[in-house]
Amino acid sequence: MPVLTRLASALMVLFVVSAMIFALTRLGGVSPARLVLGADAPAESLAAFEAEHGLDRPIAVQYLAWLRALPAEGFARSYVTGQSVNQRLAETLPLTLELVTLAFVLAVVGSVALGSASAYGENRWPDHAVRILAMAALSVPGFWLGLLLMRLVGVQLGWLPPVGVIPWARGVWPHLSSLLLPALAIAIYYIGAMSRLMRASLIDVLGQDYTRTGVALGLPARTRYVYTLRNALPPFVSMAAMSYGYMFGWAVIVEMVFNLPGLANALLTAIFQRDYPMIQAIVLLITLVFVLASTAADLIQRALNPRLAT
Amino acid sequence: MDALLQIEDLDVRFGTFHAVRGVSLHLARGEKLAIIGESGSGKSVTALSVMRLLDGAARTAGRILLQGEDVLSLSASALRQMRGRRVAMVFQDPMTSLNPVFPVGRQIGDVLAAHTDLSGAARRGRAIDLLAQVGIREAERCLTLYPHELSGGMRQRVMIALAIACDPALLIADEPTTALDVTVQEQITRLLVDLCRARGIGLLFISHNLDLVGEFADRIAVMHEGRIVEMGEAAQVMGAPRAEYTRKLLAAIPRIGLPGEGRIPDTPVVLETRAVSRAYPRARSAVARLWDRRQVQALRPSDLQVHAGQVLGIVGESGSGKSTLARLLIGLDLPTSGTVLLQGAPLKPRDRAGRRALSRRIQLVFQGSQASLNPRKTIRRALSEAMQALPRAERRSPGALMELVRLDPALLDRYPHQLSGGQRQRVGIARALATSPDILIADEPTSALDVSVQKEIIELLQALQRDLGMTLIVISHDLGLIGTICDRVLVMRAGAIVETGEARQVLTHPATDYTRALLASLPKGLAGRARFASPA
Repeated sequence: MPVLTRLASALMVLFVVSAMIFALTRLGGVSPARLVLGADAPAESLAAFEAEHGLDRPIAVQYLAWLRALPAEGFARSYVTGQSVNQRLAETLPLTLELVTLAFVLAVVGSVALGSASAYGENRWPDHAVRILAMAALSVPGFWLGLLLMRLVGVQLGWLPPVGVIPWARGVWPHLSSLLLPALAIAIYYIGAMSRLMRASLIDVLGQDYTRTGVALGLPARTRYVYTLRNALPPFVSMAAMSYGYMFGWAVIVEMVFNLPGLANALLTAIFQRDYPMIQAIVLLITLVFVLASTAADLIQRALNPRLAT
Repeated sequence: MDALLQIEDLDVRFGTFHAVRGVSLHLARGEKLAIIGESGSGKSVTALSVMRLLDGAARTAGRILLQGEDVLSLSASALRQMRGRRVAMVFQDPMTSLNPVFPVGRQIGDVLAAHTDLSGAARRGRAIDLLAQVGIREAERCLTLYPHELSGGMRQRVMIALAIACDPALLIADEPTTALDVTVQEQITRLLVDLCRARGIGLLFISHNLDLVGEFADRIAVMHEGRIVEMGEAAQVMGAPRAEYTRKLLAAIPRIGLPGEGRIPDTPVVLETRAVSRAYPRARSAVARLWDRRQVQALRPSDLQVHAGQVLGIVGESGSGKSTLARLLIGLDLPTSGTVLLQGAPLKPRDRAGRRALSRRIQLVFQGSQASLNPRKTIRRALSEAMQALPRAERRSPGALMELVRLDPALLDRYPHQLSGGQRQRVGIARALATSPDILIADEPTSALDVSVQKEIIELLQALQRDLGMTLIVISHDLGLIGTICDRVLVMRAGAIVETGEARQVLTHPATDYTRALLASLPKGLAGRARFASPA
């Protein structure tokens, strides 16, 4: 039952956000007709364009029509390119999803490892070393680091392709390796932030009575680590889930820097062109990712913490 | 000599704090040794040193020989094998000492996996055996339960099962029953004693409660300021104490002493409840409440009368509804049904004037004055703020309040953490007296304090009640405290009042089985040895 409640509220959020996005994209003041037809277009053709695309109707009516069409037809066509938005998404979404997911995996693995090293070496050299790394990661902009990595690893050392993406067809490793640098550029900030949280959470759990019980019972170090980590994870899971959503924002910059034809690229183009259907579709997708991530986080929390399950 | 544990000249320092100063003791196989002391006496530090569980800041000197081997010089891996296998420990608070995210079965299984080479199925079987041995019915079902699904007593049983899982030769129990209700306390003590007897386990029992250990310990060591001030046979330490400090401890134990001649003046009712009840929704979120309308009945409809100038004791175990009742009496919470009447007029805590008037009539003394005093405010500010509800002319000086509770006004500019526990509790009482209330409610006023300090606080409350002619309501789980100071007693259980009457009547001729059980489970020192003489 709690799971259903959670899913229902996630659906509610999606509805509200979609309505807000719909309204906001139409409050820009400049009609898309003007952008598509040019500054000199006569008023009649502007009106005709608006009528053709239903832009002359009240926003609420437009929204309902859009909502009604969504399940059957998906997103509409772009005003600007006339291309199907569905198709454009199908081309660009997978790459961004891969990029962000790879960055997410790097961030989680990196921050658990560094956070653990830091917590177990509290106030000794591993802790200091990780703290310095984390501060650097938090303060250096990811895209700048991306450029440095591109130059060093991609150009000078030649270990990984510096720009662009190698298609799956050329093999799994070449494809993933071409995404590794941009993913790292996104992940680095989150490794910094999440490793600090992991450290704090672990130190808190290490000071709990039940940790002492584990020592007193002579449990081996590996078992004790599992005990500790399981208790330290909940705040980390919440933050990681949020980060997964935020990473789509970073992807905008990183895709530009590394010249990747992903969703972020498509979004920027659409914004410059006032391409309403496209903007709406992409922002809604990113919202969906956020909502799914936080729902997933909640469900994982329930699984991790038996006290929430009832 | 057949020494299981031999501690020689143990010395532990944390920075400049000298926690344990030259402690020597020994424990034979199957022997039960109790270490008694107040907080800061070094008793827990001594126990933790045996397992080498002190944190890195501790500097330890001396020798701790376990079956002839020096624990202080063991390697990390030898130490891990020793812990849980040869020595095990049961901690004070079973709420926090079990891992909250794994089921009981897994936690026992992991201990067995750490020290034996039993297969998974064999570990499961052994876990069921162990749970049965610690008196858990439905042991198999218990394997799948999480700690939060168990009662406090059950959790402590599970903790004991973990401790004895690998047949240790020595069991250390650090205040194992302090966090539990009296009736459960007796069961758990009994279980520990019986298990150790049956298996020949040496028991090192750390406690602040002399009456409790007097019932079963072979020998008792009394610690004070890091030293053992007296050690000997239980009968000698309890019956003919040699050390001044032991005598002081024994004298401070609140025992049911029957107050006065028992002539309770007939005075009018100042505070009463009429069919007052309080229920809480079970579901946590507002959405879940839409379909889950079940309620938890914290207090069933109850009637009680408080007579002016008397001391009423409300006694009950955790979950009995005694604190809920107190919150309703002072208007911190509103009843689901029924009314609270203060001198015949209903309380109006939600209306501003009513709240203000109420604060001048009834005040509350909290259990933990550590938590109820703002750590960032001086005592002077805490006391001044308490008087803000009064017109300026009626405000007293903070110094006068301090004198009322026999504290040096020089302490006014200190912060709460710079005071001792007893001093803080006095400040808590002074703050409650700031508005000169005629009714004072003290919720577990002594349970966070050491025995000798408890006695001082009890005496202070008694004196204040007598001198100021206040009505005092004392809420406690401690029958000893209730029996010491109360005129009337109200016994609560599971949200209902089960018995009420004059203290002497209720405590000597209880009318209900529950009150009888409560009285029977009180530790009785040497007088209670008979019940531990043979296994139950």
